[in-house]
Amino acid sequence: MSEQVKVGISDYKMSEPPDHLVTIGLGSCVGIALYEPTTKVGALIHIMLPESKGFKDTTKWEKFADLAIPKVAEKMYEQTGKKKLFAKIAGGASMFSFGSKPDSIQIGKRNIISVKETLKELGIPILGDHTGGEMGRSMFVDLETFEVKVRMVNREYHIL
Amino acid sequence: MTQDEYLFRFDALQEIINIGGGNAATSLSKLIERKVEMEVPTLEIMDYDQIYQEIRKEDEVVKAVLMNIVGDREYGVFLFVANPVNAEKLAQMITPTEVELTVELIDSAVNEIVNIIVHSFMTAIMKIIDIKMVSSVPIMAEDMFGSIISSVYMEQEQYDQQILIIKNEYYSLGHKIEGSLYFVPRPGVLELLLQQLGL
Repeated sequence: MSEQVKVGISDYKMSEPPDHLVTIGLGSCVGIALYEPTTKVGALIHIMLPESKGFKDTTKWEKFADLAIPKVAEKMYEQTGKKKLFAKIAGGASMFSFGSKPDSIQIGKRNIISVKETLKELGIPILGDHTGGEMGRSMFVDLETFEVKVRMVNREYHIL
Repeated sequence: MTQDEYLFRFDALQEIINIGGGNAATSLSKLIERKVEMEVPTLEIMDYDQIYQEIRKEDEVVKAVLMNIVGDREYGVFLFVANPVNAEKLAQMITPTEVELTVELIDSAVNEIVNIIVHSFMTAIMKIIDIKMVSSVPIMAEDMFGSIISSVYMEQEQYDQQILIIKNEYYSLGHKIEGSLYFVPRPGVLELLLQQLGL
């Protein structure tokens, strides 16, 4: 039986087919789907913040892009015995046209930048990207095919 | 802080929210020419999972109106949340019957309603705490509740997994029309309010 494995805010889940990984209601947060194609093991992370720098308490490491992505990638290397991962990302919106603020203080934009930089440092290519804008998103990751559906309100699914 | 002091401050905050919220309910009632009732304000620290279980599901589509509150500093935001059907009913109540409601008209009517209730909320509070505050023009979004609430808290630099929910719940015509008004303070603002009260 295929199961929908739900990923909450500041959380991650790792699984394999026939499961689907799902995260609902990304706003300025970013969802990062990681995948190892030969074993079909995948993970989905829902980060809230770009970096842990300046925070005293980082025990909830899943919250920060710069901590969560390397840690989950490491867990996937262990689980699969492989080193080559791929990523698809969605989210990082500026809800309510906070867009009028400069990029440097918009949390959504900063999240996108940090996620992309962290993935680049780890050598994980981004195969699909649906980020920015002003709308909320939900992500549905099919671990059989690594097809990622991005759902928005009043719009068609976007397939990554 | 002792337990007593903590509870005392908690009660004081709840009372401020109650007074502001009550004033807002009165002006909403005048506006829609119907009785408006308000529940005891929520003042509760919750994590996101709890919010989505107890208040509203994260994928529920809502109409939300946001107003920034500023003065000598940024104080935070008011956020009005209603389901789109309720928002339309509210808009109908303040629009002459012969006018055909378009999406633009509904949105602008709801914005205006929120503008008015936030102003009366603030006016009541300013009388108590003697801080000058003004609000920005209302901005509307129609989206998933989860996307909206998490982004609003983040924009106000509330980065914890556990957030303080400050909320007034309004309803009219039994429970046929419901709307919630959240106040999301910037860090340090509640402490400032209490200081102004000498607490």
